[in-house]
Amino acid sequence: MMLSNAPLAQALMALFILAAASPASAQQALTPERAAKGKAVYEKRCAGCHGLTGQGDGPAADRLRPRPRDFKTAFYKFGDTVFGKLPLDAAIFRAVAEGLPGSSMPGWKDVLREEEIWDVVAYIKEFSRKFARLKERGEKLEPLEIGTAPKLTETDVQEGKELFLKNCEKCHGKAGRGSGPSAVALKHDLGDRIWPRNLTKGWTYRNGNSIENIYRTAAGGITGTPMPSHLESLQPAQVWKIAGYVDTIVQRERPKTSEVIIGKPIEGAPPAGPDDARGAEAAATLIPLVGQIIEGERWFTPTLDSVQVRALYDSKMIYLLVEWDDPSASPLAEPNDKFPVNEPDAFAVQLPVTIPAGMEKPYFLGGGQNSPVILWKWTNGGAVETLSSTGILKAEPFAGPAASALSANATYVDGQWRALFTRPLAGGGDGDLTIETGKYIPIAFSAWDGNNGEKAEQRAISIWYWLLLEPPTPLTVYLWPAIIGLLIAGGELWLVRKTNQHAHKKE
Amino acid sequence: MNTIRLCVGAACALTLLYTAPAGAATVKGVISTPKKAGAPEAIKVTKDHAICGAKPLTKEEMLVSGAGGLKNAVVIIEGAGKAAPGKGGIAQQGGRFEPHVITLPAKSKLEIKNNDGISHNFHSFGFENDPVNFSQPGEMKVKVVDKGFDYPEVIKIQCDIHEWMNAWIVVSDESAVAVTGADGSFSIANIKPGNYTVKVWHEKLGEVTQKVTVKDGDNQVNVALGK
Amino acid sequence: MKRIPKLALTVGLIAAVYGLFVAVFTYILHLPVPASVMKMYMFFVTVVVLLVMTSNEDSARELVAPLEALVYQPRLRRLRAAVFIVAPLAGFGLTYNVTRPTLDAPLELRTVHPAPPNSVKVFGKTYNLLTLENPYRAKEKSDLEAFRQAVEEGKTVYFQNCHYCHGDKLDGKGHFSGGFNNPLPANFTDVGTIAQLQESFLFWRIATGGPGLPNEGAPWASPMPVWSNYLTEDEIWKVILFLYDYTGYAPRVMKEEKGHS
Repeated sequence: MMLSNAPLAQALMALFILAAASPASAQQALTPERAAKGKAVYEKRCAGCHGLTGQGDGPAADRLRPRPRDFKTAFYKFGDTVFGKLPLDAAIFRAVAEGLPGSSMPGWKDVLREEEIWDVVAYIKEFSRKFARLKERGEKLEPLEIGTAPKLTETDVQEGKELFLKNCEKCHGKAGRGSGPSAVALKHDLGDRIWPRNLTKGWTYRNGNSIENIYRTAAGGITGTPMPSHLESLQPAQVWKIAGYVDTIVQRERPKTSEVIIGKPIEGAPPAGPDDARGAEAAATLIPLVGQIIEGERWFTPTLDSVQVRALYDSKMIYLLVEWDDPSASPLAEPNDKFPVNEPDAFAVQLPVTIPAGMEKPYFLGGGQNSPVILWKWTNGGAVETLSSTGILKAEPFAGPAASALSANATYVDGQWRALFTRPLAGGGDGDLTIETGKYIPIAFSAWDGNNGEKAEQRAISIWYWLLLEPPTPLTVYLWPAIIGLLIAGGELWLVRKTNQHAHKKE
Repeated sequence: MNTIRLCVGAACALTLLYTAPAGAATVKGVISTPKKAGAPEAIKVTKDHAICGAKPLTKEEMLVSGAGGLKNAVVIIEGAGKAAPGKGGIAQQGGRFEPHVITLPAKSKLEIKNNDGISHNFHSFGFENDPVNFSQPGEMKVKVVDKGFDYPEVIKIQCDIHEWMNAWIVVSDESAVAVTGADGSFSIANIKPGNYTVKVWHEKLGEVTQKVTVKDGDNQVNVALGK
Repeated sequence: MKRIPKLALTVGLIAAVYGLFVAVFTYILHLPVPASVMKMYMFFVTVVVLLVMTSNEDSARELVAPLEALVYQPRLRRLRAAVFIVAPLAGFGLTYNVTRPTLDAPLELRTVHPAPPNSVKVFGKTYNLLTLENPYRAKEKSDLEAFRQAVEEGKTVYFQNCHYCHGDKLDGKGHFSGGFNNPLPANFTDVGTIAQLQESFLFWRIATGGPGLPNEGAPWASPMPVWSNYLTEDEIWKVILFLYDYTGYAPRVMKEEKGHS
C-alpha cells in the first residue's frame, strides 16, 4: 500500500542514520547556554508527553504505555551503561534522533537539526540533579563494553538456547514471546505495569535489533524495569551466546500487510484443529491491531498488536485460522496478587450481513444503525457465538431466525493463541452472511487480552480488510494464451513452408 | 547541598568517635498501632511451588501483635551519632527475603545470599541511590554489592521473578537505629543524654517524628502509628 | 564506416526512446508513469519508427532481410529452431499474464476533502458553516495573552486525544497510524490539508468525525471519532488553534478582504 518504495526508503533511512550517528558519537559540550536554548525546543516538541517539568507527566502520559520517560528520576532505559547508571549523552541523543521503535516516541531528526537535538539533550539532563552530582563526585560514566560480536557456531547457539531457558524463560517465555510465568506480574520502578519484550517481533525492539543491541540489553539490563543485568552472573561470552540464540528467533522486519486475505480451496480432509499442518497451505496475512479509541470507554493501551489470518475452504465450509501473540492465556490459572484483574481472552471476526454490491460497507466499528454486521466471537473458556451488531456498543445475540453453525477451536502455546473458526459457507438465513467464492467480502477483527483488563469495547481492533475465497481457476484463463501460442506456431509453420517453396522455385 | 551534607557527616563521625563513650542512656519502647490487622494474609504462590510453597508464605507488610505492637518498624534517633560504613546482609530464602526489613549504614556493602538454589533477581528501587538489578541464579549463593547504598533513603527490594517477594532496606547515616521485634519493642543503647528527634518509619503506615529528652539510664519512648 | 544494419537500428531506436522516457520521468522528474500510458507512448513510437524505416522499397527490404534470412538460411538453423520454440511460449506467457485472475484489493475511490454541507447540527445547535468562525481567532490581535492561553489548552486537548493517530509532530504518523492506515490519518504539516481549509471545515470534520462524512468520503471506513461525544465546542476551537499554531499555517479565510487590511 504505502510500502512500495521500501528499498528506496530504507536506503535513505540508512543515509540519515549514518548522517546522524557520526556526530552523535562525537561528544558535544553540553553547556548551560545550550540547555537554555533547548528549553524552547523541549516545550514545543516534548512537553506534550514528557511534561513541562520533565516528569513524564504531560497531557498524553496517562494514556501511553510505556509511559513517557520521567527525566527527574533519570531512569533512562537505554543509556549504553549498566543497569541503574546514568546514560551517556550519545545514548540520549540517539533516542531523541532515532526514536524508540514500538513505543510512541518518534525520531526527531527529520524535524530538528542536530544542534537542536544536542540543545534538548542538555536541557533534559537538567531535570535531574544526578548528573550534576556525578560531576561533583568527580565520577565518569563507564560505557557498557560491547566489543564486536564473536563468530558463533551452531553449538554456541544451542548453548545460548539452554542459557536462555535458564536465565530468561521466566519472563520471556519458552518461545521468547514474552509469556513466561513471571510476565504477568511485572512493574516498572515508578509503579506502572510492564511487559517483557516479545523477542520474536524485532521491529518493536526499542533499542535496535542488531545482535550487538541484543547483547547490550541482555548484558546491562534496562534501568528502572525488572530486566536485570546479567554480567554479575554470566560471562560476556555466555551473554553473546544468548544473543546468538535470540538472533535465531527474531524477525527483524515487520511483515508486510496485504489488504486481501486470500482463501485457498482445499480438497480432502479439512484441517482438524488450529495446529493441523493443513492450515499452513493458505498464505498468511498479518493484520495490525490498535486500541479502540473511538467510542465508549476508549482503550489507549492494548497489549495485542497484530493477528495473522489464513483462510481455507472446501465445497461446504470455510476454515479461518487466526493466530495472535498474547503474553498470557487468561483467565490465569494462577492469578497473582499484584494484578488481580483476570478477564477472559477473546477474539472476534466481523463480517457484513450481506456482501456489499457497491463500494459502500457497514461502519467498520461494529456496524451501524442501518448497516448491521455479524461477529463470530470466541471467548476463552466460554461460548463460541454469532452475534448481531449495529455498533460497537450494540452487539447482541444473533438477531435472525438462526445463525449458521459456527465452531471455534483454540489452543494456547508459549505466548500464542491459535484459533480455527469453522462454519458452513451458507448462511443461516435472514441476517446471516452467505460466503461466496470469488467475491470481495469486508472482514475486520477484534482481540481482547483479559489479563490486561480488556473487556467489552475496550480492546484491540482492526479496520476493514478483504476476504476473497479464490475461485478455482476457470479454463478460459488458459484458453486465450493457448490460442495465441498456437497461432504463432501456425504462423511459423506457414512461413517455413512458404520460404521452402520459394527456395524450390528458385532452384 | 550534598557535598555539604557529606562534609558535615564526616565531621560528625569524627566528633562522635570522641563523644560516643560518654553516652550512658538507653532508649527503649514499643512501636504500636491501633489498627487491627488480624492474621496475616496468605500469599498466592504462582511459581516454583516446591521451594516457595514448602513453608506457607504470608504477607509481611503489616504484622501486629495481640497487644498492638508493630513488627518491622524502623526507629531512628536523629543526631545521636554517625554510622560507620560496614556490611549488611539479606537472604533470598524459601521464596522470601530474610529479614523483611533491615537497616544499613550509608556507604555500606550489602551481602545478598541465595539459599534457594533457583533463579532469583535482586532489584533495588533506589532514587537517591542508583537502582540495582541483577539476576541471581541458584549457583550464585553469595553476591556482595559494594555500591548503590551511599545516600540515606528507604529502598524497596523486589524479586521480579517471584512477584510477591519484597523487602526494605533503610539506609541511614545515623548510628542509633533499630528494627522492632514481633511485639513492637526496640532498644537502643549508648545514647548521650540530650534532646533528640525520634523518627519512626513503617512500610505501610508511613513516617512519624517525635521530640524526646533522653536522660541517664533507661528512657521509655512509645510511638503509635496509623491513628 | 560500416553502416548499422537497418533492423538493429530500428530496435535500437525504439529501445533508446524507451530508455529516455524512463530516465526522464523516473529519475529526473520523479513522476511515476502508469504502465498503460507507457504502453500507449511506446505503441506510437514503434509505429512512427517503422513508418520511417519502411519509407521506400529498398529500405523496407533491408529491414526485413535479416528476418527472411532467419527463416530460410540453412546456416541459421539452430537459431531458427530456438526462436520458433520460444516465440509461441512467449505469446502464451504474455497472454496469460493478461488473462490470469488478479487478487488485488478492489480500487476504492474516496474524496479526501469532500464538500462540506451548508450547515451542521451538533451540540444541540445548528451551525452555518458558511459564516462560522473560530471565536478565539480575533484574540490573536486583540488579546495575545488570552490567545496563547487558548493555544496552550488546545495543545493539551491534542495530546490527550489526537496524537495517537495524528502524531507528536502532527504528521499523521502517531503510533496507532499503523493500524488505522486506510484512510491514513491526516498529516497537518502537509500543505494540502489544513493550510487549504477554513476553520469551519475543521470544526465540521472534528465535531462529526468519520460517521459525519458524506458518502463520497467513505464514512464507514474512517476511524475519526465523533468528537462531540468527547470534547466541548470550546475545546474543539482551541485544538484547531493549536493545529495552525504548531504547523505555522494560517487558516483559509472566506473573504480575503475581511480583517486583513
